Amino acid sequence: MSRVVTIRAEPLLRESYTPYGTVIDQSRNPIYCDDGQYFVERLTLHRLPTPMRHINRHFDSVQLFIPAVRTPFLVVVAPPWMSAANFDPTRIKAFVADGYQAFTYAIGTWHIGPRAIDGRPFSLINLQGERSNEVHTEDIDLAARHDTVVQFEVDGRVLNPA
Amino acid sequence: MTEVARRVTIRVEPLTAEAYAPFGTLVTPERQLLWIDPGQYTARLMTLEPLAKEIRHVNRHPDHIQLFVPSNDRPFYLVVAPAEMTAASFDPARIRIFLNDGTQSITFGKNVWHIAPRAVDGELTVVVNVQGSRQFEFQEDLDMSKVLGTVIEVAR
Repeated sequence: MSRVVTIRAEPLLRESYTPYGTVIDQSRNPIYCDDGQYFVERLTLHRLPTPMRHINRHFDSVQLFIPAVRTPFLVVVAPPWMSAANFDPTRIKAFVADGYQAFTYAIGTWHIGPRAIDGRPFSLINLQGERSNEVHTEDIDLAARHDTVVQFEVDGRVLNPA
Repeated sequence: MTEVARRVTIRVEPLTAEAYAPFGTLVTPERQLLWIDPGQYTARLMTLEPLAKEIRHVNRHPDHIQLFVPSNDRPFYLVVAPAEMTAASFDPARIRIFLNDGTQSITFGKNVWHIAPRAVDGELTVVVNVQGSRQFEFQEDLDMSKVLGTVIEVAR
């Protein structure tokens, strides 16, 4: 049986989010794409986090998410300085975004796509390098490689019991 | 300063993808490419100024497609004119003004004449502005009142 790691979510704040990316403020926050151009799309997401088994990251571009509806959702990240070989699942962090905050994943920040908290659908504008998902992605199978699955706790409730 | 010889009245129209197509796009679930060269994009929160009674200036950027995403769902105006006009051949009567209901994310195409999006009177409207890091090196400004002796009046 896999080890279960429980990550307690905290509010998304510009200061505490710094190791993973930027919460967009009124200054010009640089974003960066190193291979080709950015694309933009409107994503509608509704998936509750099932016990999390994978995490991925991109090396070509800073990814920018801008909420298109005002529904809170979960942002799941881990520090970019961990390699896949020394990835420590207990260093995963979860943040609750309020539905107003735009934020980035820095280049190399481990992440999963934003997840619903209560199953309500929410929409985000996604900016990403045009070859980000196809070429410049590294993925870790946490279950296979670390014998670990991850669950998230928000306001004392586990969203996705393993 | 040149005396303003001409006032052109432009009527506000609803924002639809079809009507807006010559000037930019609405963001949809379908991926669309942005474009910037040279430089990189920046993103910032911006509180919009209200739309004035008269419009005297427009500007444009050859270096990037600009993106605006509503942050608090308040309506705002988009003032645009076709990219194919040069400053020398600019015809103020070809300006269009669209009212975004506050739910649409939109782009300004490369070289499309525009002013920054403007709030509806009395609304505190916040958007995320995704624009080029080097835009001020390449921005072209046109003072319509000075160069063309024309100001735009908005019919709301």
